[in-house]
Parts: sequence; C-alpha cells; structure tokens
Amino acid sequence: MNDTVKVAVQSEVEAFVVEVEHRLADLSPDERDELIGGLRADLSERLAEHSGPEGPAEVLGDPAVYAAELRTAAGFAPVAAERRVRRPIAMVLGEWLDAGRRRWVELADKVPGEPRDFVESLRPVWWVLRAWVAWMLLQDIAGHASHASYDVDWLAVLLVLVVGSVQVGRGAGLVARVRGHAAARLALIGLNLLAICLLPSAMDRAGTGIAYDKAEQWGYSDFGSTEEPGVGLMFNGVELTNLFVYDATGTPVTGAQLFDGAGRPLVINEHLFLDDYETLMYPWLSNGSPRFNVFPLPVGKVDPDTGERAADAWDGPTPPVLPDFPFPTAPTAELPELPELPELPAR
Amino acid sequence: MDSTQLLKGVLDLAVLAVVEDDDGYGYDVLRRLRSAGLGDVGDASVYGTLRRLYAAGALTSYVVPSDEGPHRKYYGITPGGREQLKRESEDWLQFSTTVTTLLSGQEANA
Repeated sequence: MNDTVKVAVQSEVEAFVVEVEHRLADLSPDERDELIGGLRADLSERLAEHSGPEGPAEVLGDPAVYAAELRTAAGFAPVAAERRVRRPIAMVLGEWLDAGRRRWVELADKVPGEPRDFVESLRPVWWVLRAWVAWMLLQDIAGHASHASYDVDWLAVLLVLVVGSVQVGRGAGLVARVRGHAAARLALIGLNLLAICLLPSAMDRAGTGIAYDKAEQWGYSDFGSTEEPGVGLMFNGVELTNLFVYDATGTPVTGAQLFDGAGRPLVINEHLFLDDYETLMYPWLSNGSPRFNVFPLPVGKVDPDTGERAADAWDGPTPPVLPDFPFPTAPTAELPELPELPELPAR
Repeated sequence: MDSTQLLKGVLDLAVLAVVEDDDGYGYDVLRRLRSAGLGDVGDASVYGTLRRLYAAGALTSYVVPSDEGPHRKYYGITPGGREQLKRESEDWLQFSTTVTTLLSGQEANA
C-alpha cells in the first residue's frame, strides 16, 4: 500500500470509528474504550488485506449496523437508549413548524393540477390584501367604526402598510434579520390568521364606506339613521321591509310615522332588497332628509349602473310607487271606553 | 441452515479456542476463525465477543504500540477462560454428539 492510499484508508477508518463511537455514547467511558480500543488497527488491517474492487467505505459498510452488531456481541442493547436531551424551545418550535409545512406541501401536492403553484403565485395579492385589512383595523381603532375614510392621510397610511407587508412577504429589509427565527415565524402565522379572520368585516366596512359616499352624493346627509347599519324592524326574527298601518275603523293609513316610547324612529333596515335584488324601499322625506320610519315605504328599482338607490328616482320614467295594502280594509278595533288622551307638547 | 444462527451460540467457545495457544488482536482472531472454516462470522461480532469475554474475566488484554499505524490490542486467555473453554467444549461435544447420533439414526431409518 503506498502512502497516499494509506492516508485515504486511515481517514476512512477514522470517520467510520467516529460514527461507531457516536453510537456508543450511552456506555461508560471504560466500556466505550474497551469496544473502540484496537478497532482502528483491526479495521485498517482488514482494509489493507481487502483486494476486491470496492472502496474502503463499501468494505466497512454501514457504521450503524456495525455498531449494533458490536454492541450486541459485547452484551449491550443493540441501539443506544434514547437520551432525553434538553433542546432550546425555539429549535423544537422551528422543527415543529418545518414538519407542519412539509406535511402541508405533501398534502397540497397530492391534489391534481398543481394548485400549490397557483396559490403561491397569488402570494403578492395576499400581501396587499392583509395590508388593507390592517389599514381597516387602524381606522377602526381611530374611530372610523361605521365606515372607512379614504382621505389623503389615510391613503398614505395604506401605502406604508402595503410596503411593510410586501417587505415582510419578501423577507427583505429589517425582516431578513429575524427571518427563520421560530418566534418571528409564529408571530407571522398569528398575524396572517388574524388578517384572515378580520377580512370579512373589513370587506363589509369598505362596502359601507362606499355606500356612505354615494349617499352624500344624493344629498342624504343623515343616511344611515339607524343606530346599527343593517339592523331594523324585525318580526319573529326576520327583518321587515315594510309596514302597513290601519286606523281603528280599519281604514288604511298612508304616511304613518312610527316612533318608540323614547321618541326614536322605528325604521326598517334600509339596505334590504326585495327578492329580485333590484327593488328596495325608498324613504319618505322630511325637510329633504330621508325617513325610513314612515309607512308604507315606496318601492322602487335601483339604479342599474350603481346597484344603489337612484338619486333621481322620483324624476325618472319609473318612479317608486306605494305598494298595495294587504287588504282594502281591516276589521274595526275598539276599546270598551276611549281613554282620555294625555296632553302632549307640540312637536 | 443459516450457520450464523448456529455460530451465535458457540462464538464464545470458538473465540476462546483460537486464543488458547497464542494471544491475538481483533483482526488476527477473526482471521484465525475464518481460516478454520467459519467464513460467515462478522468482524463486529468477533470484536464485541472479545470485549465481552474480557469484561467477564475470561480474557486479558494489552496494547502493543505500532510504529506504522494505530496501536493493536491483544487478547490472551486467563485461567478462568481456560476453565470456561474446557467446560463449554465438553458441553458442545456432548451436544453435537447427541445431535449427530440423532441425525444418523434418522438417516439409517430413511
């Protein structure tokens, strides 16, 4: 054996012995020395005698199998008892997240048509969307609870949030420093989940904001007179679209104004459409302000261009109409004795 | 029949036998076993057996420095080892005779 080959064999043997020794870590130092001592010389000689075409690594074989055989023959368990090693929680978390991701990718790859590639190519859209959700959340905190503001300051905030979200998504800038850290990854997962949860309410709020802008264009300054948008008069758990009032003689009353005992107008949910999604209620007007507590409410078509109440509905070719009462007259109603009405302050 | 299974039961005996007259290091012992006809014996099994016999007091060991490479660890038999060899040899002879007789009886009947 020439010197070069000898050095190569020595390093192969050394690597092999280290691998075997690694699998004896549970034994006492004396036991380990007893098993490993002389092993280098034995293995080197075995390799030196070997004349076949196989390389040293092939002749030596798998160190795990070798260690198991050595341990068994020496009277130990074939595999070292697993020792519980205290590992940093971040490492455990990181491995847990990696495993979760691998599992997810495996599952996604089983679905035909490469949906994962498609979804991953949509990531930038999500980066912008979550920034927008964060923007809506900030507006909420700032007090724009019922509708979103689209003024210049808020648009600048949106721009900053979009840039931040995209940088996080790309793992660029400051984010690069904490990228891969288990805590950062967990925080990102948490924020993304939060954004997903808040997405529906953010969408709803944006819609309300746009409707609000349109209402202002119509001159309906106190649009949204209901205290909570989307909630109005209900009966048996179902929102009402209209009411029909008859007086005590059973005669239909047109233009009856409804209030509760505290003087609050009893309104319908003005956003409700009838079944065809093109027809809704138009308000009565009081000094130019819309009143949804005056019944029956006129019924009219939406503006086909906007999908909302037409601003010029009353001047158009098909103005809103008062709906028919359910019956021409109602039964008369009476009390044994008509009580004296309390004197009311003039409205 | 798989001879490695049979070998497991008598490896202690075989190892003690090949170091009875001459001390030997691990690979040397393996070579002696193979040249005696036990070609299937694995080297890790032999090395492990040597260490176990040493731990049990049947063998003694000493290191011989080498100028060329790693040190060699030689094993020699102890009086306790000789006793074990004698006892196990008798057991084996008795056992193998029994099995041989049984098999030859079967052959004669066949």
